[in-house]
Amino acid sequence: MANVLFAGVGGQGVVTASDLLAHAALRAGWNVKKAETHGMAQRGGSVVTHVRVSADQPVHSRLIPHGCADYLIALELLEGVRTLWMLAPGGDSFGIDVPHAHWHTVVALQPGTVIFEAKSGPYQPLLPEEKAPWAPVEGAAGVDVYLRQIESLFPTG
Amino acid sequence: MSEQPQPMLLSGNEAVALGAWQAGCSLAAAYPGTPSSEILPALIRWAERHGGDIYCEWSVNEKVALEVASGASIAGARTLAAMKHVGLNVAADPFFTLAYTGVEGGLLVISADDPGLHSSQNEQDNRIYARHAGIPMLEPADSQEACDFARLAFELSERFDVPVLLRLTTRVSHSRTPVVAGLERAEREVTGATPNPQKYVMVPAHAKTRHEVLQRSLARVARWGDEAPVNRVDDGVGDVAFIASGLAYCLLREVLPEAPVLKLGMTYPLPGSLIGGFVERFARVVVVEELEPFLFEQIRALGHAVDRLPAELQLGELTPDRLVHGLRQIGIEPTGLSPAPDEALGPPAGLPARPPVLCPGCAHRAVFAVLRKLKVFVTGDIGCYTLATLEPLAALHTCLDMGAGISQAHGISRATGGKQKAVAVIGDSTFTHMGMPALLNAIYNGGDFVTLILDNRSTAMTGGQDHPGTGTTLRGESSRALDFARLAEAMGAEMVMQVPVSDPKAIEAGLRQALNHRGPAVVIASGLCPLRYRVRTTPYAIDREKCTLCRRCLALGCPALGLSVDSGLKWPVIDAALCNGCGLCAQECLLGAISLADANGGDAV
Repeated sequence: MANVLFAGVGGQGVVTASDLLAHAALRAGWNVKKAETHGMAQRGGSVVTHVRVSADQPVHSRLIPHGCADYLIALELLEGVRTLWMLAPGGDSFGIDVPHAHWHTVVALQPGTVIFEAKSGPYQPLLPEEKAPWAPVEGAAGVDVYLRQIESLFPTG
Repeated sequence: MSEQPQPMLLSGNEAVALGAWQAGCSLAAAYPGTPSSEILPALIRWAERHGGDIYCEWSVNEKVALEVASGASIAGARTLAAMKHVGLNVAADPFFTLAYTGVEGGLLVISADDPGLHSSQNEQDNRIYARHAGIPMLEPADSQEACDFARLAFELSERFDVPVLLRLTTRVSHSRTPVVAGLERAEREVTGATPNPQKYVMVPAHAKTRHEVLQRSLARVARWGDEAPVNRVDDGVGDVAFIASGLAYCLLREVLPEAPVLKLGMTYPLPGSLIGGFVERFARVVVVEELEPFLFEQIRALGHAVDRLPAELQLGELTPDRLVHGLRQIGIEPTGLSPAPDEALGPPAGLPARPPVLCPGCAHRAVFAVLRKLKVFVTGDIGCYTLATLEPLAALHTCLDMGAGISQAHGISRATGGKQKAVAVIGDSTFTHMGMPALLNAIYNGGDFVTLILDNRSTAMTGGQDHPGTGTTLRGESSRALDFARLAEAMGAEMVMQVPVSDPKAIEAGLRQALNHRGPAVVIASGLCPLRYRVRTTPYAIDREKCTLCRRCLALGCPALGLSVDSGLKWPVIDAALCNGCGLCAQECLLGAISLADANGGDAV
């Protein structure tokens, strides 16, 4: 069983983000339940959604009990602080905060990895000058070699 | 033989719509209200994707919606009316008497309750309506049941000649859980209405007979419930057993996965034999339910000494943590959760709250800035503009129910002998819902106050649905747009004026004139809802050379305006990503420090 809590502000896409995870779980044949906030949510208020997934156990409650969230995905800092107490004790951090205007790339070390990236502000497509000049373009020849180079930086096993 | 359908991840509202679509429902009427608003749009989508002829409409209010549905039923159509819990108060009049008349085509009434008041003015438990009116009620626990029970409700309604209430809650309507359902629709022929006055003309003589018929029907429904799979027993271990329905059942399964549970899908009328047989098997039986002790009291009345959760849990939403807390208080230790939830946990104190606010560029903001300045008593209503009660606008002083503001202003004016002149603010959709009779009453009875219709061409709070003022129907067809000014004149208002929300000076001048007028005055403030109509223009920015940090702009409560610390000073700044360019702050600034962002090359962040 994994309990994933999404927190943010109305309009940021909290409901959409949690939808993606819930649908992915359903497609993988897992049990899933998800609770959303509607109504007041699009007026800029705090929004929290609960996603509970399990490959083998039935999911009954759609709400995550207090102190039982395995993952917290906060799309906004204050809402993250506000919901931090929902996290279960003893978990690892799976999140990373990349400051604005820092080149970064993502490599999946294991198949089936799900990566969720949230950015502040409205959606803007990347401009050519924002892309790292040394990295091959998506889909181009050389991508595999480039990714393998990055993979080799991680310890295996 | 078709292959096994793939599970779909549906909200409770989408699932109800799917069940109704499958059952051949051909007319649906509703007034939008959280958490019920998505049911009709979902029904239209099912029909668009998979066929079927379904007429859907936004009715002006829930009473009208239920009456439209009742006409469809008399004509032989399977039909539904959907509403939020307080909407059933409005529709209570036809609801009670429809229990007597019964149906031709199956009639489904959907009430989406809001335990915990996520988006409502109260948290009434509408299960009590089922018992009060004598209307059978089904309570789904998840989206699969929402779909199955909706379909079943039409069958029950026709079989027992009575409407059926499908009672949802926010957590059922607005949760997504898997649904496996076939995409086949049972299309039905609608034969048309034929006279049957003994059944459909509720004069006393007929109604007395129909009341007796209803009582006999309910006894038959209860016996059906003793055997039907809609109610079921989950066998378990231990001599403490539970009775639960809906969301409470899901929470109970989570917290005590091995306990024996009688799961009631039909919570009115109760299956007496099934309950009796279940209760006598155990040393102790606890009823677990959300809000009112509805099941508890009925089961006690059947003569069973069942137990219940502590009474304090009747207030608010039932959550896993509150259930664990309640069970511990009555000596039952939860076994199902690891780690056990810590009921002492809660959000840290002292964090800034983030309540919902009027959107950037909201058509209502200027009006409330003026009302605050005029220092009048403002009777409010239900809609986005209710948020204007919060600081910094803090210019709305009542909110009771749909349409109440106008009548309250009339009452204030009459009680004070005309000394206090209130301003009643009401949105365009709320005005068509129940404001019209209120205004007619006030004008007829010589009310001396100002009615301010906030016309943003949208039922905005519930997601921007159409209404008679928008000139478009739910199906996207053009219709006649209601002319508020001509309507007010026809009702007898002597002073009727229209002001644009983009001009605070015109709003102030109009309101002062209306307040000075003796007798009922109607001011219509028009401006499009920026969210619904996606109004967005060039953002504004603040010129620090001219800004004196007076913070007049901040007092508008616009989410695009904030403070930024620089050189030890807190500067008002405009977030260009949020600003939608309405320009209200620029008009509010006495020093001309705010202008279009690209005009002064300013400091938009």
